[in-house]
Amino acid sequence: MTTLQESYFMNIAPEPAAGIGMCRLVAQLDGEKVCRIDPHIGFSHRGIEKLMEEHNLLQGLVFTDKLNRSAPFSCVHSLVLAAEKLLGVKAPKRAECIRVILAETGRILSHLRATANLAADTGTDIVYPVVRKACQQAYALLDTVCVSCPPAVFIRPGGIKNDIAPQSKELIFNWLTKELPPVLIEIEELLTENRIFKSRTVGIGVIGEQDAVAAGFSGVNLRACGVKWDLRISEPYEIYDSLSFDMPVNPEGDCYARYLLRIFEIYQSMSIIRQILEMLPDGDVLLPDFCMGEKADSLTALSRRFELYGTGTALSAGEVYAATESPLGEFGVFLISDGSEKPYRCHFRSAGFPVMQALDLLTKGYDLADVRVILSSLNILTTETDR
Amino acid sequence: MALSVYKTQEEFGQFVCLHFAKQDIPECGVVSGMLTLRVLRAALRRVLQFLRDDPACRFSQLTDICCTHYPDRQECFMLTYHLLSPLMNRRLRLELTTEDDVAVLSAASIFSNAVWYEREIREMFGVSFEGHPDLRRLLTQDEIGVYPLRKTFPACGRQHLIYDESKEQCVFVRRSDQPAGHFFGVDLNQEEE
Amino acid sequence: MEVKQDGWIDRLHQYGVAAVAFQSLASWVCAQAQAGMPVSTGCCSCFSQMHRAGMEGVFNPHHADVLVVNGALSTKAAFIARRLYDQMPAPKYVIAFGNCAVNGGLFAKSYAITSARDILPVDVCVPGCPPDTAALSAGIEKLRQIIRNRIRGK
Repeated sequence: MTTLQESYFMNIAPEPAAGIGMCRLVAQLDGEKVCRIDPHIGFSHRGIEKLMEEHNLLQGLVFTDKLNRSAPFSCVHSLVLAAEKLLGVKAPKRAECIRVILAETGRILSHLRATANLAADTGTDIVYPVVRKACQQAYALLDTVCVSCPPAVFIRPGGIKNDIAPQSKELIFNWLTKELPPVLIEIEELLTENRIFKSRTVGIGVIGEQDAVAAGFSGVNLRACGVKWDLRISEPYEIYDSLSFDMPVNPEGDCYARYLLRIFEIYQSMSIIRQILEMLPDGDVLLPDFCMGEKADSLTALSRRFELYGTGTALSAGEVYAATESPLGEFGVFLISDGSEKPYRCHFRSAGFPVMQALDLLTKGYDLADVRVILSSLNILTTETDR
Repeated sequence: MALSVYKTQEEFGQFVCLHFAKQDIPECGVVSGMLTLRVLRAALRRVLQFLRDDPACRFSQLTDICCTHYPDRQECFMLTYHLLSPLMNRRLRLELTTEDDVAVLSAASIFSNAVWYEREIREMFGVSFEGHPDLRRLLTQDEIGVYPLRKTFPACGRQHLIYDESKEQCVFVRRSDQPAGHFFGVDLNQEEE
Repeated sequence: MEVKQDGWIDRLHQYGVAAVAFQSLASWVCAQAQAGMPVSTGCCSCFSQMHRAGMEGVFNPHHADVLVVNGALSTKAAFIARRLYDQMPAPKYVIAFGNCAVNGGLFAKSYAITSARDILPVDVCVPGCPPDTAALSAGIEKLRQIIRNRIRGK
C-alpha cells in the first residue's frame, strides 16, 4: 500500500446504481487499484419515515411500496406483517397463500433485473432486452391477477384487497411452465459459462463469512458467503413453514456466487409458487374488520367506509419488529404505536443500507473497473437504501 | 436450529441479566414476541460486547439501530438496538434512553456497521455519539441545526430550495416566505400557455 | 414563458427567403435529433422508455439537449441536477418525468423533496406514477413542437 501522497481521489459521479437511483462514490485510488471508497448516499432520500408518521397505515402502504419498485410487494409485506402483529390479527389462509405467490413473483422479477444489471455492467448487454421482455410479461400478469391496477396497496393489514382473478391459476401456471423457463435458459446460456462474464465476476468482491455477518449482510449476499440464513426458513412467516424448498448456499462469497444463487433462487421461487397453486384453499381473503362490504347504500356502510379509508384503523399501543426476506435481503419494519391511527414511529431496516456501508470492505484492492460490477452484483437500490 | 440450552426467551433474558449488575439492566421482558432489555447508558458497550462474544449468546449481527423522539419526556430519545444471532436463531432488542446533550457510547468499535446507523441518528435526531469515527451527515444536505425526524420538526420542512436567477445558484428560502398560491411547488397563479 | 433567443438558428430569419427555408429544415432536424440525459433519483427509471419513445439516452451533459428528470428530486440531488443543466450546451430543454418530478407528487409534503420546477426551467411535464411510454412519447412530441415554434420565432 502506498502513502497518501502517491494515491489520488476520484469521484465516481452520481450514477445509477443497479439501474435505479443515484449514488456517489469517492474513491481513493493507487493507480488502478482502489484503496478506499467512501459512498455518499441520500440522493434518493425522500423522508418516508417522517411521512409515515403523518399518515395512517393504509396511506403509509403507498409510501412503503415506493421504496422498492423492482420487487413489488416486498417492502409492503414487512409493514403489513408488523401492523398485523400490533393489531393481533392473522390474515385468512387464502390471503396468506396469495401473498406468498406475489412475494415470490416479486423475487423472481427482482432477481431477473439484478442479473440483467450485473450482465450489463460486465459487458453482456444482450441480457437486458431478454429480461425486460420477461418483466413486462410478469407485470402484465400481475395486473391481470391482482385485478386492481396498479397493485400498490394490494397487500394490506387483514389480508389482501380483493380476491385474485378467477383465471389467474391457469395464467400463473402457464407463465411458470411456458414463458419463464426459456428466459432463464437463455440467460444461463449467455452467462453461466461465458468466459468474459466469469473473468469479470469470479473471485471479484469476495467477502468472508464472519465479515459479512458482522457487516449486517442479509439475503442472497449473506448466503453467497456460506451462511445458512434465510428468514423464510429460520423465522417462517405466512405459510412458508408448510412449503418445501431449498436454501441454496455458496461459500465462495464473490460476484459469481451471488449471480448463481439468484438464478437458483428463481427456480426455488417457481417451485414455491407451483406448490401453492396446487394447495390454494378457498375462502375469504380479507378479515371482516377490514372489509368494506359489498354495498355502500346504507348510512352505516358509508360511515364504515369513511372510518376505514379516512380515519384508518387504530393500532394498539406497543412496539413491534417484523422482517421479511425481501429479494434484496432482510427488510424489517420497526413500528411504534401510541394507540392512534398513525404510527408514532416507523423505522425501516433497509437491506441495502449495511451493504452500501460495506462497499469499502468489498472493493478494497480491486480494480476501478470492478467497482461497478461489485455494486450491481450486490443488488443495491438507492430508493430502498436512502428511504 | 436453536443450540442454546435456554428454551424460552425469558430464561435467556435471566441468563443475560445474571452477568450484569442490577442497575445495568433495570428491565428485562418479552415485548411483542421479542426479548427486550433496558440498558443503562454507561453499560451499553459492556452489554453489547458480552452479547457478541459470549458462546451462549453469539449475537454477531447488529440488525438495526432506531431512534425515537418523545418530546415530553425528560430523557427524550430512545435508542433501540436490534441484534441477531444467526447461529442460535435468536433476536434481541436493547433499549436505552438519552437526553439532548448527553452523548451515547458509540457501538462502532463492537459492530462495524453501527457507524452509518449512528451517523443517520446523529443527522436525523441530533443525538451525539462518543468515540464515533465520523459524524458527517449521511442522507441530507448540510443544513446545520436541523434534525428532521424530531417530533418538533414539521414534515414539510422549514425551508425549501429554489434557483435564484440573480445569484445563479440554488438558495434555501423559508417556507413562510413563499408567495401566496404556491402549493406544493405548483404555481397556481400561473396561466396555461 | 419567456423564450431566450440565442444561437445562430434563432437569428436566421434576418437573412431572407432561402434562410427561412433552411430554417424550417433546421428546425425539423433540431426537433428530431435530441439526446436526453436522465437524472434518475426515484422509482420510475425512464432510460429504457426513452429509447422506445424516440429519444437517445446519453450520460454526459455536454452531449445532451434535454435533461430528463425522473423520480422525486431530493434536495441533495437538486444541486446536482442544476449543475448538470448548467453544463449542457445552449439550446437546452428539461422534461419532468413522473408525478414526483413534476411537483413532488406523493412526496410533495416531505422536507427532503424539491420540486423540479423550482430548480430548473421545466418545458414539459409528463404526469403519471409511473408514466407509460405513450405518455413519454406525447411529452417528447410536445417538446418538439416547442422547439419548432421557438426556432420559427413564434
